[in-house]
Amino acid sequence: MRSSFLLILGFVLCFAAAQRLLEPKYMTETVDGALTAEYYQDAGSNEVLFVGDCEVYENFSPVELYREHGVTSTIRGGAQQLIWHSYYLLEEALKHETPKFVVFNVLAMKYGEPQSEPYNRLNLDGMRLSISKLKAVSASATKGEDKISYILPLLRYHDRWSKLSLADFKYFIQPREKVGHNGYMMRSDTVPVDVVPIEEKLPNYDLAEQCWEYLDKIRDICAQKNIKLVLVKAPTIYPFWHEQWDEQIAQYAQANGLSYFNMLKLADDIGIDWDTDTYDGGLHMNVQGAEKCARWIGAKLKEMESLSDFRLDPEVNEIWQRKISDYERMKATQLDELAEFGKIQTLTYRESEQ
Amino acid sequence: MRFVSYEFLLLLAVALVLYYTACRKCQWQLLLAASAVFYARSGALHLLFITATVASTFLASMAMAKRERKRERRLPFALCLVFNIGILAFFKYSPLAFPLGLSFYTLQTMGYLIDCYRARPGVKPALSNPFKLALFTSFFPQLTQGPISRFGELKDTLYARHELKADDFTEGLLRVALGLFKKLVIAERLMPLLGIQGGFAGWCVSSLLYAVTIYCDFTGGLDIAIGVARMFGIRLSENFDRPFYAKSVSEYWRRWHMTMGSWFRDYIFYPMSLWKPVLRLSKVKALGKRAPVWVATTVTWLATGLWHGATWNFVLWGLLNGLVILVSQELTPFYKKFGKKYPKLSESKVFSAFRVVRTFLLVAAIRSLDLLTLASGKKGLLSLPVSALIVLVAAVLLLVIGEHRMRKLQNPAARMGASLSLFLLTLVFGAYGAGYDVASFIYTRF
Repeated sequence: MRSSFLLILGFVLCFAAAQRLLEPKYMTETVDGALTAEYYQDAGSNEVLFVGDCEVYENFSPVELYREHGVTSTIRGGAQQLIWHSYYLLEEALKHETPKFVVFNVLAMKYGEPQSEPYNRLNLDGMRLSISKLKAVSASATKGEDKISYILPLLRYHDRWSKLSLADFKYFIQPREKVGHNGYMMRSDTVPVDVVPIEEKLPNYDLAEQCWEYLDKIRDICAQKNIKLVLVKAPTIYPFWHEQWDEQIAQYAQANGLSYFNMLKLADDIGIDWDTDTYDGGLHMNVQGAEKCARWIGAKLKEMESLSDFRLDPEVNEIWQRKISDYERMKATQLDELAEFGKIQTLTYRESEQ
Repeated sequence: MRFVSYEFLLLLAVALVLYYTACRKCQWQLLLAASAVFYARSGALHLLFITATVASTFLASMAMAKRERKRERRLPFALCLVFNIGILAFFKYSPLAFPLGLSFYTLQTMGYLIDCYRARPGVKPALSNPFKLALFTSFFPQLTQGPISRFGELKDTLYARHELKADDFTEGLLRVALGLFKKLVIAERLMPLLGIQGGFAGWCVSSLLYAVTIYCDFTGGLDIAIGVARMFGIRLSENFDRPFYAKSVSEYWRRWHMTMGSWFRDYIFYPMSLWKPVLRLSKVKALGKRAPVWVATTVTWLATGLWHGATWNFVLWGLLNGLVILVSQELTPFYKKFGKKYPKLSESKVFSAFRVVRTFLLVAAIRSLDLLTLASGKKGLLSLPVSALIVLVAAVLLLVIGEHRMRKLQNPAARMGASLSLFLLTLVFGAYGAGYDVASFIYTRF
């Protein structure tokens, strides 16, 4: 009996070690995949929670929001994070903290059904095991996907044994570096907008029923926790945001007493310069654009409800000063790399010690 | 339901827990229920055919039991035989989806039927409970690819009450682990490479690869079947005895798919050899005394080929096997003379090794006919990345060196350790999950 127990324990340990070695670390490529797991380090006492896809984690800088307005915030965003991903990530986040605002980016409303496994993985791999995760997997899985492998990633990634890199061994031993600055993924390079997309006519502009259902769920869960839900459409040129979609969101917001900001229409008000504030020709903001968006949304939120100025709280301020320091150091590194190599190379960083 | 699936794992876990706890007094009934679930999950419509086989066989056996004379039993026997062979033939030749395990359970129940037919007058049919016959026909571990059990061998273990024993459980677990290793680490990795290409050299390589693939695939499936049954305390017949160590084709067939070989031997070869019209052939001078053996062997191997598939390549494969065995038998006097003339050489290890290699190559060459219909891809061995090739070679070596030793392990803890190691190796190096389509076992198609 004792030997059986030891054998099973040995098996479990070997299994766990193999899993740790073989699962993707999201440290050298597709670093966006690290953001979901990083949330747990930044969760706790944020007053604003941004939720959505790349239009939030690339377009709003929580560090700048703090620096300008003293508002603590974090982002629960991932690459092509669909609305059901967002809902379950929000549901889980609200078990860790109760912010005053949830800012939800509405681009995902255009996707009415699960899109692809790689994006599911990027958004859900880092999620801790919980009922919310199980529900998220169930809602997100595309046809033929192995749902159990979201709980036991070895079953999905076992085949990486032939593709292991030095980074896999490095992060097998060491803790991973950070990608996000409270969920914001920094890009300091600039690629101006040179082509404005032409609107493509669609046969049907109705946003999918399933998306509305999840938006209702997001609204309900925020209402239950007495959290103000704010809908935004981040200022990006691509993918094309149709006027008909915008009207539907605006009507929904009005019908449910929510605020909705189409920041694309408000770009001049925000101060966005399409020649200097985007790093990929209009798809995402660079750090300058993200800082402008953060400053602008901070002011709007403060108009809606009085938010604490945590700069006046020495304990919180000390934490955020370290975040600012890490943020500025990374920005400087990226700018140096741009000057030296013509492109940025550093997307991860080690947090400053307390 | 596939052996390599979560739902099978779930079914097995639930059945095992109930078997040794809540259902200790109704163990065989639980196995029947589990078999029904297993089969229904593979296609509810197919339940109809297996039920028809069970019902017809039960009715025929009961009808035969009431008749004392063998002549009187002939009608129910023949009707049932024709009915069931008819179902098998219909699906073999029709484009309709082949019911899971039809070939296997038909042979098994027809074996039972023939045993009832042959029973001495006054002897009751072995089973007066149709549900027991249903379990014998559909016992889920062996349903899809055997082994083809004989009622006489299985009845004492199948319906008996079993207590959970460390020996049974760990032996079963080890066999399951071995089976999964063979299937997922070797067979599934080789499967996409099979195909005829690159002229004679390509055919040679493909034939050898196919021999390894089908060995790992088929014995892997059988290991799982025997292992699962063993976990329930039930001992199924072994189906393989290191066939690639055989020194002749006839010995190979006594070591490969042994339960099928013995079925065809007992129910076709012997009756055919002893059938009066065939025996009379030995008196025809032009044909010689061995004519009945030639006829019986040819018919047996023709039936074996047809059982495997209704296409010409299987018929040719069966006949070729029969021909090689017959020629080998005819040359026996020559071998004996050779042995007497060169006793040292014929008893040397080198000569034994030569015979083993020759048999392996001969069998691989005959079996390569399967490639024409079973090939799933034509990528070629060189399409395999070096890392995968290394794993493959290492796995085959581990199997050659370790399989026999592992199966001889006596200590339950050692067996448990070996099983868990194999599970871990399979989990990491197995060809499954995204990017792979874990195909059904090759023999489930027969």
